[in-house]
Amino acid sequence: MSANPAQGQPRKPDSPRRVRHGIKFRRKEGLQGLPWFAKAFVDAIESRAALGARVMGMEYALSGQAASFSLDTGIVDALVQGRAPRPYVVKLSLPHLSKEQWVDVVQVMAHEALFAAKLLVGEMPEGIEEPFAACGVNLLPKTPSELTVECNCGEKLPCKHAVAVGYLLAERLEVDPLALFALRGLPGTTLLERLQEARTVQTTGVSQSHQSPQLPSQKAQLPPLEACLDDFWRPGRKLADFERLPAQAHVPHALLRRLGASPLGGKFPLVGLLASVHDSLRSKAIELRERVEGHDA
Amino acid sequence: MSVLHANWHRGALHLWAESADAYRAGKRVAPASADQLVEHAFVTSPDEVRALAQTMGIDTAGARPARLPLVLPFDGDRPAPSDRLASELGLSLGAERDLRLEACDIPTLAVPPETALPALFAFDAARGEDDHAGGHELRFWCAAARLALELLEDQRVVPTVQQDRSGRMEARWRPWLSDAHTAERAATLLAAMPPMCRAIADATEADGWAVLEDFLGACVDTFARDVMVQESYKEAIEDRDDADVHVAWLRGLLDRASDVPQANAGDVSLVRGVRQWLGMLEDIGEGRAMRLMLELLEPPPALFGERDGDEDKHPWRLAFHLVTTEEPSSVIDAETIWKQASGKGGSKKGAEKNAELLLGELARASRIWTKIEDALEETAPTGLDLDTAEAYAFLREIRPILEESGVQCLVPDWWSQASTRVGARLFIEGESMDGEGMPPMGDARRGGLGLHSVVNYAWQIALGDQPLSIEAFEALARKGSPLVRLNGRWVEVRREDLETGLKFLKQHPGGKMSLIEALRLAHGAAEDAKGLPILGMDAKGWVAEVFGPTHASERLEMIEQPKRFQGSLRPYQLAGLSWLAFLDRYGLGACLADDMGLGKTIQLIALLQHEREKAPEGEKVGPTLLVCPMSVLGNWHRELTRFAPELNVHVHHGLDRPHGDKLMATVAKSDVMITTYALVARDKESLEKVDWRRVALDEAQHIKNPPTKQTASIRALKAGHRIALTGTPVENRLTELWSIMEFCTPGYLGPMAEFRRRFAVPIERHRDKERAERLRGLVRPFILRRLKTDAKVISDLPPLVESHQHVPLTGEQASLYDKVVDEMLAKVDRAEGLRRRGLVLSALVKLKQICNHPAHYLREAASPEVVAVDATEPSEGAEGVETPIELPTDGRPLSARSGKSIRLIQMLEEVVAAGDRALIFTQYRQMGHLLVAMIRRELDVESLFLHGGTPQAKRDQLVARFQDPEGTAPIFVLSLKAGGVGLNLTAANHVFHYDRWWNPAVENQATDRAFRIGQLRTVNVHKMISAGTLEERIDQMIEQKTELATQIIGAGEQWLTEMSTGQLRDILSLRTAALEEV
Repeated sequence: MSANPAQGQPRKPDSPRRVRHGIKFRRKEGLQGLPWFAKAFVDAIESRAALGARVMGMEYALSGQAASFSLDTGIVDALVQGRAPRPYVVKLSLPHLSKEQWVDVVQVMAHEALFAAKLLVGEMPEGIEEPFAACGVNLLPKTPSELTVECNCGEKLPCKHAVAVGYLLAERLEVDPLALFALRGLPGTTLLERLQEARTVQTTGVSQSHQSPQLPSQKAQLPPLEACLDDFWRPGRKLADFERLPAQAHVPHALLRRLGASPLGGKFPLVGLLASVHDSLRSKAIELRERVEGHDA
Repeated sequence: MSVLHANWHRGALHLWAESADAYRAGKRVAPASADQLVEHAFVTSPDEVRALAQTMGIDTAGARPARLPLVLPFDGDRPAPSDRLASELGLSLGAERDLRLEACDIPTLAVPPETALPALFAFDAARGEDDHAGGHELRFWCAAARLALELLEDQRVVPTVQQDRSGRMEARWRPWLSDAHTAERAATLLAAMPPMCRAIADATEADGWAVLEDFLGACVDTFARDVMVQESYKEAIEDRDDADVHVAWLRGLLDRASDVPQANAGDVSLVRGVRQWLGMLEDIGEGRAMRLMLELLEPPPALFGERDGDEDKHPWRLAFHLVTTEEPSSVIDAETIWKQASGKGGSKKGAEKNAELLLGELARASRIWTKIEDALEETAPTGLDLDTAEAYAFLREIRPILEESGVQCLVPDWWSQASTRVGARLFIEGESMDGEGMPPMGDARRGGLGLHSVVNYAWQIALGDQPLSIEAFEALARKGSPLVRLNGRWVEVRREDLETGLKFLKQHPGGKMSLIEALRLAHGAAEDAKGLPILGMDAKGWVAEVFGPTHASERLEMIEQPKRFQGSLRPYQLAGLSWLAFLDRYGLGACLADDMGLGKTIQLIALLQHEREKAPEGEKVGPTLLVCPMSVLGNWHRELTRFAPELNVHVHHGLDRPHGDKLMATVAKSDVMITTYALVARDKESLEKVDWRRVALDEAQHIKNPPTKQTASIRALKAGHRIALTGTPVENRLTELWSIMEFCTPGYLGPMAEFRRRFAVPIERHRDKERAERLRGLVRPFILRRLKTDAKVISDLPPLVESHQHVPLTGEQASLYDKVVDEMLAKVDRAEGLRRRGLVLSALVKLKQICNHPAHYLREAASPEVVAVDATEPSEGAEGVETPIELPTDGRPLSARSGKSIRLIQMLEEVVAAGDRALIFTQYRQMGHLLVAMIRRELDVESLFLHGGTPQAKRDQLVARFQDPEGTAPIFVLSLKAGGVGLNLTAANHVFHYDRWWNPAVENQATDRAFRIGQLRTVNVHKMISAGTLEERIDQMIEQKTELATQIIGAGEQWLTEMSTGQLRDILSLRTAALEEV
């Protein structure tokens, strides 16, 4: 190995440096049979890449030259080891939707149970583009150029490194379709939560922070009204039982102590305030009761 | 007159009212059109509703007119009246009605929640004054409002948030109903919900829970916001930034407005976050196979040796276990878990899972008590050492919260036992009687004993049953530890108890006081032991005999049946007699409250004989005044004559009753004088002058609170001994209890207002068990109540007990009776043959009707009535719309016009109060209608009615409903012909024969509806007989099995028609003068 004084740079080796535990493209069928939404990304990159970059990109992908690959931040972030000592930093990204646009999209999606149902089991619904289109936006790249490709190798983009990452992305999307939404700025799991939330609102009109309390089921069974015609107007015998049930000893702030600290992340001392609210409620309730009883006696 | 109703629907209390006038006018509903519901036929306008509500003390501020579609029972083409309206109108509403549900539109007055809750409380408090204008469901709403208030008081309220379709976020205060105890209360209340409360036409499946939950939620949120505003809570977040999620949430909670500001529309993180947080409350380990169990172990006693003290020297141990959630549960302790997890024996894999579970559970518990985090620092925690203060904190504060969160806690036995608390015990010693023992019976001068005698007393501070000296006590106080060791036992010592205790002891060295004062003190009925729990009393001497820990009746030596008693007393009756004589000996009043049918009357009669038998030769025992309602006056006289013919009985009644000196002379000659409640008030002056040996009240529930002139005159009577007889469960009806005790043992329960404050309110309103227990302790020595179901009684009782109720006619009945007899006799003389027979028979029917009720005879109820006296079943008349019975306009109850009705209602009241069920047989369908209306109105219970016109399917339904243990109709009225055979009605243990049949076999057959296989209790048969009338005459003949009687039994009424005019006059005419009080 010798330096190339003409270029003032170390000469690169003929083949890329091997990567231990690199991320490999493992599909046996190659690019055949990719789902449509994954293929859309392959197309977007390949249509702009030179043949050499495509061939080498596949070569890189198959041999596991990518040292890392992540979608965590809403863009594809990868390190690809080429012939240079340091891996190249590759990024693929799509413009994110605004928060408001996401709210709109979720609302539209919530109208059809199919979306939530398919996504819940990890499948990409066929018509997923429709709700986006309805809001005037896109999920998949609208044009190949909408997919921004970056790499610090200095070659013409999309370079072989970027192409390799594109293939890995396609494979990832096939396995984890929900990852697609992250590219538009909303993690798949968050989308699912919001979608379910929105569906509850749409079916019941409201989304609540609490469940309706369930009564012990055998006791909650009331006979149908038709069976109550003879005793339609009076309280049942259980009213006497209700009035006789022994009172429970008061445990101060029992619920708040069971709740513990708020997980909401606010800074205001919420639980302390609630404790003093509870004290006020208790003393006012006692006051009212005593007033009523005073009247009584 | 109108009846107010209330429904809760979507955040508002909808008030509406049925109008009696509109009902009477008979307006029918217009048929429904395609797109509109029918309108209710007899409801009032919202304006009238407002006026009505206001007369009942229900504030309607902020209410607006609205409409509410309800699904109501329809009878034919109009809505059926509610029970309350039916009662107010005196409708009987026979069983033949075929009700169906139909939706109709009701104009209402919608009261917003901020007015509704206080309004219900105001109504609740004022209830009883004008109850009749309110539907029965108002009681339910009052109970629901009380539950809401209870939840607020107990801090079972959580803040919540919700988001709607448009993305708008709202915060609400909600009741937390998911904990077991609360859920149980709510479920019990729900089970009592009157169906009408959930009969809202657009509600899904009449979901009662949705209605109740919405009601509770609205009450809680409204009340909480009121408090937030009153106390200016929003100032706390005034200058805070809404970007802080807590602040944003609180904006919707601390003011009237519920909106939560949000930075990002559609952001669901707050809703999800709060849901996750509140989810902690639901996480009580139910889904897990095993849960945490904490066991608090006191330091081993051996460490301390013999000495007390050294409380802080040795640590307590909180041991960790896992317990399976399934039943029966099994426990694994933490040591075993860790040992197995490290591979030493047992299945390693399962053990690792358990170890993980244990750590998870400890982490959960540490959120409630951070002290547990100390244990989590170890790799294999098995428990935690605590100092005494921490152990105390665990016992007092932490344990209840952990238990609510599904963590089982085991604590030492001594905790929670009252015997470990510091309190005061009262020692009482009755002074002995001059060495002579008790004064002899009948000594008129005695009376030094009784409640007002003086006793020696001393207070002692005690730990449960261990008395403490002042020095020991002060030493405790110096320690300042909440848990101390005393005589080798751990004991809870509250600082405040110590201080009050010391102060108290110094102020109360002991001495003498009256017994009544001492008893009141010992049972917490008086103020003196301020703040210090009173642990009970110890008595010595004669006081111990009466007020000892067991009821005197259980340890008394039985006295023998008086020799002159004409009959035989059952063992429990002898026990009652012994008890009455025992209390009498000490000059203490008594309340004999045995169940109806156990023979209170004869126990009292035997007492009168007993005291005469035991009196020294030649000494005359003073007279007893017996006060009873008019309706049983004759019965008493009859029973006295029958069982104790040797007693001189004077019935103080009628226009010619003696007054002044003449009365004194009569009294002097009498052993017993019987009179009525009304006459005691009227002849107050004469009666007050007598020194009665005893005053006894029958049906003592008649002395009412607030005191009437009657009650005051009775209390003013001078008596050496007082006895009250009653068949109602006095111990559960506290005002009644007070009134009766105030008669038997004046002053014992203190003034009414104080009694209410100290006992009635805490017990009835707050279900305070401790107070109830104290009150029971206080009154128990003076009350003897045996139930027919008591083991001791049941073995003494025959399966069938028959009694004859001889009741007087009212003035109205007597004059009608005379008139009919006179008219008939006048005509009969001049008639012959068939015509004569017809005259006699028709007069007979009229007389029987008059004995039943004047309204029966006068045909005031418009139910189709065909006179039928004999074997013919009433034929089916045209079924008309039932029109109301004329109710007395002077406010008297309908029953007041008939002696039999008065007595029947009195007896049924006891039946209902005891939770028993009764059959009432009558021969007349119209009388049946009258009875049903009367029972509904005067007892406020529903009764069933079966007669010849009831179709078979309906009959089966009625029988099933009556037999159902959960059924709500305790009284079954039956026509003798239709209901006298075939039916199985063993749910009843009382049978009333309201009018008499000439043939005992027919009556017996009817009685057998209840008295048959499957009947496990004694059946009481009550035959109602109008005194002095032909009913009584014929009853006598049957009882005496006269020759005439055999004719009667064979031939129905035919024999009467063959009598001569003289014979007729003899048998029919009224023997006693009008018996109504003048």
